[in-house]
Amino acid sequence: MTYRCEQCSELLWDQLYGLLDAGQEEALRDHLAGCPACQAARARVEAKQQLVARAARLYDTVAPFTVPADEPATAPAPEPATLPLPARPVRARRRWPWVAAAAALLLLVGGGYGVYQSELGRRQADVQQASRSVKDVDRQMADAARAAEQEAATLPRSLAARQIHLSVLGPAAYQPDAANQYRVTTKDLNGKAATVPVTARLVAAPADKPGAAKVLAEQRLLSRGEQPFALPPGLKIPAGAVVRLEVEARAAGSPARVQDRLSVAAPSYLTYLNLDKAIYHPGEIVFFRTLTVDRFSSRPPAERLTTVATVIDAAGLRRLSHPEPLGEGGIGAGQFALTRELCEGECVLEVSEAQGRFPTVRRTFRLDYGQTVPLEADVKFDRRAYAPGDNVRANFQARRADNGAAVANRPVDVSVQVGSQKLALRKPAPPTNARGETAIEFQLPPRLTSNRGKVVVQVRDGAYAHTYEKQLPIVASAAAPVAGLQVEFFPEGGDLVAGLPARVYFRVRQDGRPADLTGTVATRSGQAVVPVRTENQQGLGLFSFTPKAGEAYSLRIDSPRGTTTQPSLPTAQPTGVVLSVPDGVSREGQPLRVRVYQAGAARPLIVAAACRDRLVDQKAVVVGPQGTAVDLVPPPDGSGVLRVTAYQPARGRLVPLAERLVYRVPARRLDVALDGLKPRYNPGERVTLQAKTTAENGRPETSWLLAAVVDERALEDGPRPAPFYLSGEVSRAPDLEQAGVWVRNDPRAFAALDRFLATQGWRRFPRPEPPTVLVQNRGREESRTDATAAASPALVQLDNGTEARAQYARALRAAREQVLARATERREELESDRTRRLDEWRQVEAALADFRDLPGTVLRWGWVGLLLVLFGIGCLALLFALYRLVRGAAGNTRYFGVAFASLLLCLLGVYAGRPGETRERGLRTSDLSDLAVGPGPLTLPHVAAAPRLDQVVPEGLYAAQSRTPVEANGRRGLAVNRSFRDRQWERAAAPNAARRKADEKQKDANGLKETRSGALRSRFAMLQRAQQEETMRANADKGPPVRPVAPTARAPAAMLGGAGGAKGTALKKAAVGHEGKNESKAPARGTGVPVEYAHVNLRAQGLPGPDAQETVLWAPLLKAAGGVARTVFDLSDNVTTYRVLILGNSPDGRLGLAEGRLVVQPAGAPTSGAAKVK
Amino acid sequence: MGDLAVSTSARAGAVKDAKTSGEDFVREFNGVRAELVSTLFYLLGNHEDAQDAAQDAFLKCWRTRQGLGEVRNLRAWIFRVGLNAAKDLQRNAWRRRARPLVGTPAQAESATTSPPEALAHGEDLERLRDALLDLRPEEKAVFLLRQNGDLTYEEIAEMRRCPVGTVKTQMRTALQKLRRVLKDE
Repeated sequence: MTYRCEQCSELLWDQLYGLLDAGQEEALRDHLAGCPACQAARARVEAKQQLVARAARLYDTVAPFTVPADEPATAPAPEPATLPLPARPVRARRRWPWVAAAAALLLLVGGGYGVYQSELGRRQADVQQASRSVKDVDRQMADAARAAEQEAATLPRSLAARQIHLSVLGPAAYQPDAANQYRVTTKDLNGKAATVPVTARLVAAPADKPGAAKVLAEQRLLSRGEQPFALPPGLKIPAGAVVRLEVEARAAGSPARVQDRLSVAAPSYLTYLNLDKAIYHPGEIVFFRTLTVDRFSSRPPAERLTTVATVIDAAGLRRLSHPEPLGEGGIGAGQFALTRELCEGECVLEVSEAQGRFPTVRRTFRLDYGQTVPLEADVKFDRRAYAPGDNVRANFQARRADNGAAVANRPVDVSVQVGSQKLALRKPAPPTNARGETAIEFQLPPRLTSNRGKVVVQVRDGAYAHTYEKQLPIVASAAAPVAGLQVEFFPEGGDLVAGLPARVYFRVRQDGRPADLTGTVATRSGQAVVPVRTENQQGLGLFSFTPKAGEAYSLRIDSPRGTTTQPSLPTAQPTGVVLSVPDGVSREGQPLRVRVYQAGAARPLIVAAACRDRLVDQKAVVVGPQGTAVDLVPPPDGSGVLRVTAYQPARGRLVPLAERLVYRVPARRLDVALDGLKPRYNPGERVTLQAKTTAENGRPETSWLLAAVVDERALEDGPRPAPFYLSGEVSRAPDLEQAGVWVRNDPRAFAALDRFLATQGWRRFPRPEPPTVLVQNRGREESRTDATAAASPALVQLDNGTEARAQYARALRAAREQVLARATERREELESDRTRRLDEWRQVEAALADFRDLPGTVLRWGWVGLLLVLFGIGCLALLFALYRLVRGAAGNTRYFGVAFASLLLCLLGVYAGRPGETRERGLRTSDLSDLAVGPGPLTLPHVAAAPRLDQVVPEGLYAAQSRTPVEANGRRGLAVNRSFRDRQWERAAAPNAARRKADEKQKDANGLKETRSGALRSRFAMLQRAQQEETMRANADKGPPVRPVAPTARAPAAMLGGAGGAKGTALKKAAVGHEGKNESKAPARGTGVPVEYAHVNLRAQGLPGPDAQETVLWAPLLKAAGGVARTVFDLSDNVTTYRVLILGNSPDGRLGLAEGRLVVQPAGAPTSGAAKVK
Repeated sequence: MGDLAVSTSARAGAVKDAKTSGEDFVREFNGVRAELVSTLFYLLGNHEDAQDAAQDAFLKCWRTRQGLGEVRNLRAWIFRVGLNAAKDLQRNAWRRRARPLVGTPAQAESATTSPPEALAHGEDLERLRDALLDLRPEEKAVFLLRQNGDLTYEEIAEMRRCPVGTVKTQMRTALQKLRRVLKDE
């Protein structure tokens, strides 16, 4: 290897610093040895190398190092095997910065993350706190609204409990002669019984001065839901005054008050007419007596009555008529002398009141012009008994009773009657022959409806016709049965109703007379249901069963045998009312227990009891299939026969649905006893008759008596005077006689009376005049005609329901407005607070959102920085590589690689960090909406509308008050007090579009928005509908008023009349008068002179002729002062029996009756009778 | 290079002779103290650090003087300990921050040179010193260890744990930079 000079100069420095290898060194040295120029160059390089060495050796002098004083200069140290280098933890020391940096980075990242999380937690806590604060306010608002709603919801019931629904039911007219029984009902608007003090007044005010009212009567009572009260009878009503009933209940709220005008019922009288005999002859005197008493209380009339007595002969001509005022005790008396001007035959004595204040009473008697000597007649049959289809032959014979002479050549009129069938004779009966006989022949039909027949023969003897009857002996057999057993069924109350228990009374008669039977009630298929049997041989009976719908029942008669008929029971009605009074006869003072059943849906009824046309008690009830018990409590005077009727109020009228008669045994009575009667009297003997009258407790009772002693032969074989307490309701006295009812303290008598009364009633009773007028008053006095009230007995129902509900509505509206005002005020406070807290929440929430975005921001900027660094590195590496490439340096690949890698990473980083879905900064919408909406608006403003009564008032209350049906919405409804269900029905039936429109309109009016939640919307809608319904209801209430139903035009009820006293002929008072305090005095009142007659025997007076006087005593006004009356009279010469009759009445309305017999027999004759006292 | 190798071997023999006593070690250390402190000055940048590092190297060497017998090249060993001390001192952040760079100490000029020559000579020295300070650390270390420490390139390579070729390359780079200062290119 050889170098040239220029190459050698480049290698001189390497040679000086030993950088050349051996070959280069040798070649260079060879060249230097032979090249002076290069040697000179080497010298210059060496000089520069010295300069460099001097520059490198900076210090020329440095203080020498010395061994430290504490270090031994020659320390005996152990000789190490090798000299170790000082420990140099190169790796540890080199790793420390990275670890420290990593630790610092971790610390920085961890610390930053911790600080960030801590701050984030604090800010989140702030947001949650703010959110809780807002929600607390929302909760308070919701609680306040809920509390207000609850308070508003409890208002209706609490206010309804303070309002009193006062209802009064009673007679529409004041009844002066009877206790006026009313029932007051006090309930709150929740339908619960309210205990409140009640004051009832009867006020009278002059018609021209309504302000000058005078309280006639006042009752203070404590009502515990229902309380009866009675206005006393006998109040003096000023003439022309307007009577008003005022009832007031003092409640916790406003007092409830109802009032209405009452009319004054005209008095009702009942008159009895008694004659001394039934058969008179021309020239005799007819004695009569009238007793007129108040029909209800039986007291003598307080007003002056004038009677008119008229005799109507057989020709129908009115012969005598005399007006006469009534005398003391309501008694009138008179006499007529029967002259030959009167036609012979059936005559009538008619007594009426001059002004028609009591109904005309009549009594018939017979005027006989014939022989005074009676005939003895007889009909003799050719056989002892006849069967249906037999030929009957009979012989009639008549003789005169005085001498036994035959009644010859007298025409005979014969009639034959079997049951109600009249039979014809084969040939007319010829006149009597010389023996006074005539032949009668006829044939019985093969089938008879009765086995009772009679032959009636009338013999004309001059102008007088004698009539005789003879029973026809008919015997039934199996071959020829006798039909005609009449069975009548009387379901208690009126109808048989399917599914309701029925008590069925039945009556069995044959030929109009009671008959007995035993049998079984069976179904159509013959299945026996219940056995039946008549009781007490009166042809009356009772059985109980429950009829089924669609089934027919009949009576299968077992006895009497041979009866083939099976009477059918009335068909069970599918609907109806059954009225039952198990105790048909009860005593005065006991409650009258009535049970009423209604088939089908329950409905309101009025159960009323009337006694002799006077309402004695009434009650409004709601009756269903299970039955409702009604206890009626008539006043003390309400005894005797009571008519218990179940009415349905409809259109202002009372429609009777069921009725029956019951009897309450009066506690007050007049016991009359006859004293001093001997078992036998002699003809013409003087008799002293003494009667004692006592009350029911034995205390002597002053009374007026009728004392009559009359020959029994002159009395008709007719009915005796009917019991007074029955005659008011029962018009046919023979029914009473056949029932054998004499009200005694005897269970059998009670049962018989119950059976008898149960067969009467409005559907079969001859006087079905029930109260048909119901005057309904809704809290204010309504004008109505007197004719309405005059249609007594009529009911009035005073009811403050409308006013109470109006007051309730007003109070409820005011209370709700108060609640609303408080709630609104509270809500405004909370809303203000909520707005403030919501702003705070928005602020902290925004700050939290920003803070949450901080890591993203840092990362984004860090990412950008990293990309910039990579980009810079790449660019620099690329530039450096290019530079080196330009300079020709080797080893540039790694620089290009670094540049490429950096730029690639930068590109990837840009791609990875491209803009994506940026997160919205600020508040989260859900959170914001959750808090911004709040708890919703206050709902009470819509509740503050007019409250709906049916929301709080039980439906039953409305149902019970719904009375007036009208046509509404094409269906049958109730115009007044419609039930809530009705209104719901109507609302549901309203067109949906119209309803929606109204709802929207109402919603707009209330400022509602559709942004409310569903629950709130539904609640608002409900409240709006409630308000709308309330408006509709208010309009309905203001709508066409219910037209009052015109009362039934009927005559005033005061139709009972009084008796008339007739001035008799100039018959002087008997010489023999009465002893004691009842000496025949002129009546205290009236101008009429009571006619009394006490017989004086002619022979005892020394007068000639036989004394055949039949009426030996007629004392129509015998006053028993102190309970004792005594009178004296003479018997006639007749050997006969006299009937003694004592009728008494007391000033306080007690009535009594006594009967007896006087047997007159000549001395020595055996005793055939004795005085019998009834 | 042959002179240097000879001198090195001669010094190594002297150290071997002096290892038997501490005085010999101190003497040997003080003999290279000017080169060591100068090297440390260029590595650390200021005189105080250079003095401290030299002091640390002295103490470390003193404390391990019992093992000097095993050291073949005491001078190289001393420079190695000195460089480690300098690195330790450089890692001390507090020292790095607290010790600002100060001016280089003045050197006595030769009395034989005229003032203009002395001025030109001084300027060259100043430029060379600045160039030395501007060398990259590895180039600086290789040059100083060779120039002042008189270490062979193999020793330098062992000390820096890098190949000998790399050391020589770094040496050539350093020389080129210095030659540019001397306008010797």
